[in-house]
Amino acid sequence: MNGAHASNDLRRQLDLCPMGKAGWQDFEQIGVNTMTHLFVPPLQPPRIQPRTLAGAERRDAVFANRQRDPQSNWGLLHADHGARMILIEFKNYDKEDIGPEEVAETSGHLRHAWGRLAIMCCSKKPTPSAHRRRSTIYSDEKKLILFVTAGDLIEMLDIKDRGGDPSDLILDRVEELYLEHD
Amino acid sequence: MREDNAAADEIAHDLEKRGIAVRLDRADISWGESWAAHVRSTVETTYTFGLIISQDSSRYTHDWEEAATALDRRGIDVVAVATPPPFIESLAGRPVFNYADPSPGGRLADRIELGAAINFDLLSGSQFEALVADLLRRYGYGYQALAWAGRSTESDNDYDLQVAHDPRGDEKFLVQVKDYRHRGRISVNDIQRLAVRAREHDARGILVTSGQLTSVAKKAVDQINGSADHLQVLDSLVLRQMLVANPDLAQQYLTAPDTDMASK
Repeated sequence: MNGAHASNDLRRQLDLCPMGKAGWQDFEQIGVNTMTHLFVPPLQPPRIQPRTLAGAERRDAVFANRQRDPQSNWGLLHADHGARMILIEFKNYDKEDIGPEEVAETSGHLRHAWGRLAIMCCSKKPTPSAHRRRSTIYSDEKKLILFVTAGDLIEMLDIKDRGGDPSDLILDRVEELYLEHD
Repeated sequence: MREDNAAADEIAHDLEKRGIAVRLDRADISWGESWAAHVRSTVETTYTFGLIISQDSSRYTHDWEEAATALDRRGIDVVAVATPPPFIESLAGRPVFNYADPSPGGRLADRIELGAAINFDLLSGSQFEALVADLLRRYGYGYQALAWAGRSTESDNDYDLQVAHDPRGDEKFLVQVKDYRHRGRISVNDIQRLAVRAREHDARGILVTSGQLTSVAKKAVDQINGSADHLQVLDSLVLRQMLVANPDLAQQYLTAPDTDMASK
């Protein structure tokens, strides 16, 4: 499958994935496939981590980052935030808010040895209180929790298709977080 | 659109005579379906997307804009072509090509070939800077004291050029130029720094990139601008339109790959 064809396939799947419980597993799978298409290489293929939450099985993804050149986006994230392993958690919410509890949950899953960068892949924008919570976590623990929506995934597919580096959006989200924190 | 099939056939015929490969998409979108979504998911990779529009199908203008913007983000050259009588001058930031005499087929083929030749990745960093300088001159920007040399010393990477747009030099601009392939993206941080430096100089800022800004960076520019126009962005889409309007510069700096075209 060529790159542009794969991108289109993923765009279609992201467009069609139902929000909420009905689409939770699909959202996780499409999210993992999209991030793999976008970031592997330079990242390593993801390790999928099953866990149980409120009786339902959830699957997070962890991408190993072996980039060390700070001129590259992932190398810079390693240099600045010790991002050796990138944790991705999926939140396919519909009517419910993606709020501070979800941010705290992701922060709690970020193991010390992995570094200080996690990405919450969200079906909708998190609430203002979720933003405040991650700002507090950044102040107290220097952990960086990024919010990436399905729309952001599509934008990164567009960046890749035009020959750019999709992780540009990740770095801009980091800088946005710095400004929000100030 | 079904109304435009005859015009599409004529245009495709004219382009094929010039050796341009054309694929016509005649999908009939039923009521309630999104034509823009159809285009987004159908078009995979092509140098040029020709959007044939007519007064009869003008009810779809919003869909055309949405589709054109989506394809722009993927780096596809979208050429909007209006069949007579012309009823629209621009679409989502690009001039609409008026498919009318004299020799519309030849002119459209020239436009498509020129668009396909514009590939900023072919340029070195200094060639891209020279192209930007020439384009700015062409649009009436004159240089003041600081030139490229200021980049690594006085300005500490915040800007590359200081230019003026009027003969007395009252309207000052600080310009930062980044060719994407060699110097990377224009970041949120770059935007903030140029805005601060421009304020210090009582000037406005121009950000030039051979790539495109991310949505986060665009939002940062919008927030700084508010209702004013402190920062302007010349990204690859705007530069392409500037070069199409100045084909001599395009030919001076860029060479053409093969052309290919998908058309609706």
